[in-house]
Amino acid sequence: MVTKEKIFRAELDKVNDYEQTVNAILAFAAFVVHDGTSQRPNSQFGFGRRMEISPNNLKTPSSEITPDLVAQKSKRYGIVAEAKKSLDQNQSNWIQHVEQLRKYDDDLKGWWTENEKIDKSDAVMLIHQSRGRLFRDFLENRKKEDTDSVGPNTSIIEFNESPETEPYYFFRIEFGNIQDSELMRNIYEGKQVPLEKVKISFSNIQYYDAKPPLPLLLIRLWTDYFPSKLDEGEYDEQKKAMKIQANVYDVTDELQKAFGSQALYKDERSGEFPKQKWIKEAFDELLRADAKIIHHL
Amino acid sequence: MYRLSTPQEEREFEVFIEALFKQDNPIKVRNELYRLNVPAPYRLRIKVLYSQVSVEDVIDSLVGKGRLLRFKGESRSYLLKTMIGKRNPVEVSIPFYIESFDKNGLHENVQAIIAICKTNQWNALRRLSKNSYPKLVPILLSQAELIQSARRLKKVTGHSVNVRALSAKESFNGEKGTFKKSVRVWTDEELEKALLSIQDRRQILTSIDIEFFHVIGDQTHVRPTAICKIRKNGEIEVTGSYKLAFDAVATQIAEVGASKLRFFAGRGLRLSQYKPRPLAVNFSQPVFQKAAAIRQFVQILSKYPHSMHAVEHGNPYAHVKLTDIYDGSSFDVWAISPSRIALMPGLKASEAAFERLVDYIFDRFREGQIADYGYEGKNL
Repeated sequence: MVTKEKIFRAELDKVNDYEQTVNAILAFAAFVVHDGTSQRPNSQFGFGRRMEISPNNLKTPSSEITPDLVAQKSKRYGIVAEAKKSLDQNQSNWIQHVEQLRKYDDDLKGWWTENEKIDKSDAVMLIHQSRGRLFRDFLENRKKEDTDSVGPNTSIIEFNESPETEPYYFFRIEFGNIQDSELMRNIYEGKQVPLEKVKISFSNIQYYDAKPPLPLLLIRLWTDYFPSKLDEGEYDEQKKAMKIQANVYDVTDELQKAFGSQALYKDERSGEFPKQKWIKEAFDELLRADAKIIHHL
Repeated sequence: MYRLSTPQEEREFEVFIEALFKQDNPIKVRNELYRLNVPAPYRLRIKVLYSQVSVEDVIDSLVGKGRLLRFKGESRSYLLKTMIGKRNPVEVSIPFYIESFDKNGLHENVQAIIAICKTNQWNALRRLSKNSYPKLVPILLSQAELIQSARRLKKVTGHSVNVRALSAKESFNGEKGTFKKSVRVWTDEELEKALLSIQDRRQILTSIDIEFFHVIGDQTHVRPTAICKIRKNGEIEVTGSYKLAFDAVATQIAEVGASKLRFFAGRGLRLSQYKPRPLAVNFSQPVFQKAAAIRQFVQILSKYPHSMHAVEHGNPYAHVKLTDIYDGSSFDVWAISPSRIALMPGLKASEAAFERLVDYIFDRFREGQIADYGYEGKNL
C-alpha cells in the first residue's frame, strides 16, 4: 500500500539524489581544474555548456550537445561528462546514455581556447557506485556487439558519497582510460574530494543543467524567495495573508544569479539553469495548492 | 541606598522622573542622571539596541500609533502609557530617554534606551522594543563576549571589579539524561576568580552583577561606586553611578554589538550582489564526531522559534534549511566538518536574523567562534 510516508520518502530520495549529483559534479570539476592548492592556469568548467559536435560525428553530425559538465584542465586537455546518480531499472533504457556518450566522444568545439578546440578530450560517464559496475558491463556488451557504439576516449568514473566523520566524494575509474596521465594516476587509485571543500568553494550552487525534483524548487521558493519579498508585500486583512507579487521571469533570473548558471563563469555558450519552464511548473504547482503566504506577526 | 515605602512616595518619585526626562536639552537630562540617586524598588535601566537606520527613528515611527508620545524639545525623551498587570490591570506612564554613543564614534544605529522604573514597568518597555523587532534589534552577547566585556571593564574604568552575583544555566545528569537548571549564585569574588569558577562548573551565564570599587594607590573604597547587573540581552540594571555604568558598561556592550552586527550585515545573496558570504561557527574541539551529536543539532534547529525548517540531511552530516519568520531571512545550515557549522545565507539574511540564529545555536547547542566560512576566513 502506498502510504503518505512512502511518497514523502520517495520524494526526499529524489531531492537527495539531485543534491548529491550537484555536489558530485562540483567535486569532480574541482578535481579537474584545481591542483590541490590553487586553480590550474587556463582551466575552467561549466554546467550544460553548449558544445558543437564535429561534422564527422557518427551520431548527429554538426549538432549541439549540452553535457552536464565540461571541465577544461588546460588549453590542451578537457573532459565532458554526464552525471547519473541512479539509472532506470530497465536496462534497455540505458542505450540512450551509451549513445549520448558516443556523441560526446568527439572533436568538440566550445572549449575556453582561442579557436574553441582542444587537443585531447575524454567523454566520461560519472555514475554512482551502486550502478557503476552494471553500467560498465552494459557498455562492454554494447561494444562487443558494435565496436563503434563506444568511442575510443570514453570512460566510466564511479562516485560515492562517503559517510565518514568528514564526508567526502570518492571517484574511481571503472572503464576506459583518461588521457591525462596526472588525472589518470589519481582516478585509478581513487580520489577523495571533501564535501566541506566543495561547500567552501561553491556554497551557493544548488542546480545543474538537469531539472530538479519539484519539491526542491518549491522549498527554495517557499522558504527563501517568497519570504525574502515579504517587505515588499501588502497585508490582506480579509485573507489574513501577505500579498506579494512574483513572476516567473524575475524568479528564474534571480535563482540563476544566486544558485544556478549565473553564479558560475558565464559566456555565450553557458547553459542556463534553473530554466524558466521549471519555475513555471513550480508556480503552477503552487497555484494548484491554492498557496497563501501567512505572515506571522 | 534607601527605599520608597508608600504608594504616595512612589507616585511623587515618578512625577519627578517624568520631569527629569521632560527637560528640553539632552545635556540637562544627562547631568541630572549623573546626580540622581535612585531609590528601591526603582532602578536605572539601560537597554542597548541596534537598528539598520537609527533607534530614535524607529521609536519616532511608533509615536502616535499607540500610546507613545515624544516630549517637546531637543531631548530624545518619550512617554509610554500602557496597562500592566493581568488580574488588576493598572495604567502606568513610563518616561524614557534615548542616548547615543556618538562620542565613542558609534553611528546612531546603536543607541540605548534609558529608564528609571520598577521591574514590571521595565517589562512593558521591553515589550515595546520586542514588538518592534526586527526594526529594533537587541544586542545579544555570547558568553565569551560577556566575559571579555567584564574583563575589559577593569581596564577601562581603573576600578577594582568584583562579581557580586551571577545567574547561569548549569548542566546536570539526571536519571533520564542530561538536563539544565538555572542557578543564582551570590559571591564576593574578584572578577578573575569568579570567571575561573564559571569555567570550572561549565556554567552558561545569563547575567552577571558586577561591583566597581574606587581605587587610590593600594587603597580600595569599602562601598562600590556602582553595581551593574549585565544581562546577555544587552540590558544593564544600575545601582550607583550612571556615568560609570553608561560610559564603561553600556558603551562596551554597544561596541561589541555594533561590531558583531556589522560583521553579520550585508551577507544575504541579494544584498551581496549574489556573491556568497557564508559564516562559520568554529569549535576548538570536534563536536560532530558521533551521529548522536548531529541528531541533537538537527533536533535543536527544528525547534528554532519563529521559523520554518526543512531537514534535508540528518545523517552522516546535517543540512537544514531555516527561514526566520520575523523578517523572511533564510539560511542553509550545514554541519559537515566535526568542528564547524556553516551558515549559508539565502536571498535575504539580515544581521538581526544572523544574530538571533547564532545566539540560539550558542545557547542551545554550544558556543563557538564566529568567522567567515572559508580556508582563511576572518574571525569576528
